[in-house]
Amino acid sequence: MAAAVAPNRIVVIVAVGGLVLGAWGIMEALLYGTHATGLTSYVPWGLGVALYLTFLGFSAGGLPLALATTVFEKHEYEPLAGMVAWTVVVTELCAGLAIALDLGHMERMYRFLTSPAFTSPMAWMFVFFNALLLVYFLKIWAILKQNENHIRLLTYASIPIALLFYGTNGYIFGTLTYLPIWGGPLVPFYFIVAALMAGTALMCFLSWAFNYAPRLTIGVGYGVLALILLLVLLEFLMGITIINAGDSANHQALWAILFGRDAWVFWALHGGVGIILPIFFILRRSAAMAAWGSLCVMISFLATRWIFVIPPQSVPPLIGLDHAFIHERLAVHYTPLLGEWLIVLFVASLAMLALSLGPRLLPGLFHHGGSHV
Amino acid sequence: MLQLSLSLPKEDPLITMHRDLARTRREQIPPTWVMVIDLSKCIGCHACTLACATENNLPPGVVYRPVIEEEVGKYPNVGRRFLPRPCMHCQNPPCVPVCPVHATWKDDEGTVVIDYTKCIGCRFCLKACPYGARTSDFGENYANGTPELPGTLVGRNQIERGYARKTAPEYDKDWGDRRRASPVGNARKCHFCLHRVHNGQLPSCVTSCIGRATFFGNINDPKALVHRLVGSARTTRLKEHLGTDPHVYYLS
Repeated sequence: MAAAVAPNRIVVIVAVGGLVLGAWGIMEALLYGTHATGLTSYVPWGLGVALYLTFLGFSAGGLPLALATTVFEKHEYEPLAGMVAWTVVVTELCAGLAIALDLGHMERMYRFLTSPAFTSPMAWMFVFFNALLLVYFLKIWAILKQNENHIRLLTYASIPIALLFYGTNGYIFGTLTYLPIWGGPLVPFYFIVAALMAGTALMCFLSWAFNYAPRLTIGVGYGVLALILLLVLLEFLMGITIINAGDSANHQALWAILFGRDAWVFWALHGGVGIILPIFFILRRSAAMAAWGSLCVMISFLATRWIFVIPPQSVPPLIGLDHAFIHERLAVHYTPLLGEWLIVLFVASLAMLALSLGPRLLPGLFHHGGSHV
Repeated sequence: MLQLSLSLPKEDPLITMHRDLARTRREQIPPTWVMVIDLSKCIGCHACTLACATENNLPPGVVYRPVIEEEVGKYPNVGRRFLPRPCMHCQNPPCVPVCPVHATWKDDEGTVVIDYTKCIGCRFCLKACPYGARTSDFGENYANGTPELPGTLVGRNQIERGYARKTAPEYDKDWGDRRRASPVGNARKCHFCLHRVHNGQLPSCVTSCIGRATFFGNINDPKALVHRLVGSARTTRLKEHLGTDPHVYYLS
């Protein structure tokens, strides 16, 4: 059971500062739309998409907890349920904000409701996004009401919805079979594993930050470790398959990730901060170390998404197309503008503020120690 | 000499294609528009690219028909190839099913079209097109960066009033001045100049081609020039293995 914690004043000040600074980026996005980005027609998905996928990953913490407490009957993790439900709602809403700001016409998002095309993975993503959000809103309500039956029912419901939701995000990329790295049946599974890793890491860090029992933090930390290793294995398998398959576009894209201009993102941020450091920290078998290791995973998760989303787009769909008509909006290289980074700052600050204020806003979520999941 | 004169075309293909268009309208032959590009006649002048940009008032960074240039061979045996790349208007367009809000579809004339008023600007279709035929309108303006010089003929406001904020009547619709509204923020692509075709005119890339390398017409009309050209043994299409069944044919 968690002890009561007041929001850390420094965290709140930093978050409010980030919101104030980041508001500039939000204003630019609202006023100028995609004109305020460094996107191009050949790299039309950039930092906004990477940010969306990052927060989506953070929201996946509910899935391993639901699996642990139901399928694997690890009931000792049940006290985390309220905190995780709050985390899922906050991070999913942040993800929604990130992707809405990335649209050329966000005012037309209502069309997902009025004329959805279910041939599109994106329409399904919208469905599962809202379904998962609804389930966790209801779960928060059920936890606050201490309705054990509803909590159990919603936990079971959340498992297939979450699997479909995180899988659907990979499905969006996986269906683009003409595109190097992105296309392929392994990609949805890769997305689920990556999301689970990030979500579990956030859960681990928050369980330490909110003073839950250290054994819980250490246990979740081992979950993070297992998922890191699974992600590394998947990345290795994808890489070695590409190398040996001999498709030139895939080779080019893989080389762009490993040795291109964003190679430092792969090696230093993803490999160093996102894999090696967390493994080192988590193996120290201390709650604080597990939390710090998880923090490394969280910080570097934007890099993990970046290397999947951005460098593969540097391969033009037709050889020479990028030189056929020269304009900065028709380049195959992308550098985010300041406004895009400010949106990252805003969304991250918003999440930080909402998560740190959670125990004060909804103390019932963070103190409930019943036998629910 | 006589042989040479006999091998010359008897009339300008533009006249033939205009006649084909008129016949489609007159005899109400259901149209499926196709384009044929003779690569051996393309001289890489980029006139089609510019004619298209002018016809559709394309802003900076939006291009419907770039011409890809490629150098082949090694010195001293070198050459250059030119590949105009409009939208392929595929029979099985990968860009259509990925649109989450039904903003793009294949119309009754076989042309892949976009409804700018429905497009949410997610750019999924840009990634789905294996030919890179879609570009996003990021709201660029030819007047961007131009200083305002009051009292003179030049200057940002003059340029914007003159042409930089003008839009073309794509899809037979007036889109008003370029500000924040559509087509700014939308996916855009070649639409075979339907606004011209519906008025009996050929697409601007066809009429501007000085090498007469681009042909356009109704593939359902057996008398049409494109019908004859598509039947040539020289015909090829881009990335046919993907099963997209493009409606743009190349004569190699």
